[in-house]
Amino acid sequence: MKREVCPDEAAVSRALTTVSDGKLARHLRACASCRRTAAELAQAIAFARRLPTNVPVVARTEELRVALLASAGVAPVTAGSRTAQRRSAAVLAAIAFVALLLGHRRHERPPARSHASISPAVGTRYAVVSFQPRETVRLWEGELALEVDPLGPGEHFIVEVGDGESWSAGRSSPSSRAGIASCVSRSLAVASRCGLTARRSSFSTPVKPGPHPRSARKGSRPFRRGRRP
Amino acid sequence: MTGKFFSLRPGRADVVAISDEALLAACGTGDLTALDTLFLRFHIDVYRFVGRLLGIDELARDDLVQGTFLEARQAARRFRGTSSVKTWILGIAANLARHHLRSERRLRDKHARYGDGLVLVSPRPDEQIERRELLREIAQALASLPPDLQIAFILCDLEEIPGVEVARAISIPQGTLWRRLHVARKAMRAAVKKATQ
Repeated sequence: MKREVCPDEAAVSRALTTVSDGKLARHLRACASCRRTAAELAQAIAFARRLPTNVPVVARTEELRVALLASAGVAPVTAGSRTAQRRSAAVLAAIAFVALLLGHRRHERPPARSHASISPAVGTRYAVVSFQPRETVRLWEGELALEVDPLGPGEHFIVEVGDGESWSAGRSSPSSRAGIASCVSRSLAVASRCGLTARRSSFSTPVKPGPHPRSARKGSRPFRRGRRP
Repeated sequence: MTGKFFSLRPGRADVVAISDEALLAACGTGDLTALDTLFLRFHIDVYRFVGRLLGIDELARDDLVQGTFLEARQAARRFRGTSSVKTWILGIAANLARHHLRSERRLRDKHARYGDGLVLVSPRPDEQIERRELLREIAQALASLPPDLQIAFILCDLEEIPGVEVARAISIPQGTLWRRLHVARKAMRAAVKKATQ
């Protein structure tokens, strides 16, 4: 017959206080060793209960009661303990900090929407450095085919191709229709719902404005957004 | 002339009929009568519990009992009803006693460092006569336990409060309570064995 493994002594101890499961109760009935452990622990508890307890005499109780009521009368009930108040203050400070952080980040976060489709040529190195309302693409090398949607008031689309050289497209006021250029440093092209090609070679002035062949041919937005290098 | 007289103040029978929870809620509003009644209902339990924690002298015991009810009054609004009012109050007493014992221990260590060992309070002569060897061993074993283990043992095994309630009252996980209780019980069992050998 397979011998049952004795449970942990802590489990036997716990069975003295809580309702033990059937398996443990069965084991305790069968195992003399565990039964003895349980009996010893129970005996120790029973002896400890015989320890003399301190119960105050009536006069002392009355003194305590008077002192308690006097103290309670002086100290009004507050909304919470000092610890709770400190905890609430800490929680409020943390919430304020998170809200401030989120607000700050939200303020800094550029809108994800872009007004342009960028198609880079093979070997082009470029990066979108900011988004609307001042969307800026920096081109280091190669060629980009761009298609820019009509821009809203105060919105700009800029391609930086070198020191002080930029492409800029946008509308500066709501009354303007599409096609009014605003130049950052030097006006090179106007782009509004038209194709543009920006090119940067190593040392030459790189920008070559003009409609992209495919864009001009189809008159729509045929280009997929280019991948960043 | 016929008629009835109604007392404007609640009579003793009315106070007795009020539930513990209602009394505690009234305490939270600053009602001193409710605090008084709460004290009369539970002070013996608190006194007995604190008195069982060894290492607390008589003056400190009175302070702890008083402090427990003052703290209960302040914290009454946070009572959620997850345990009985008695257990909740004993939980407050346990926390206060633990703080007291820790600071006492620190003080004792500090004094020991300077060579001024604290004089241990010895039992009164009449108690010495009454107390048997076994109980002395058990008392010593209980006194030598860390405060957390003492609290677990006294609340669960001597005051016979369910472990679930005790764990909630002193804000510890149930597993931690069972572990503490088991360690304390083993120490008690060893004391019994030592005395009976």
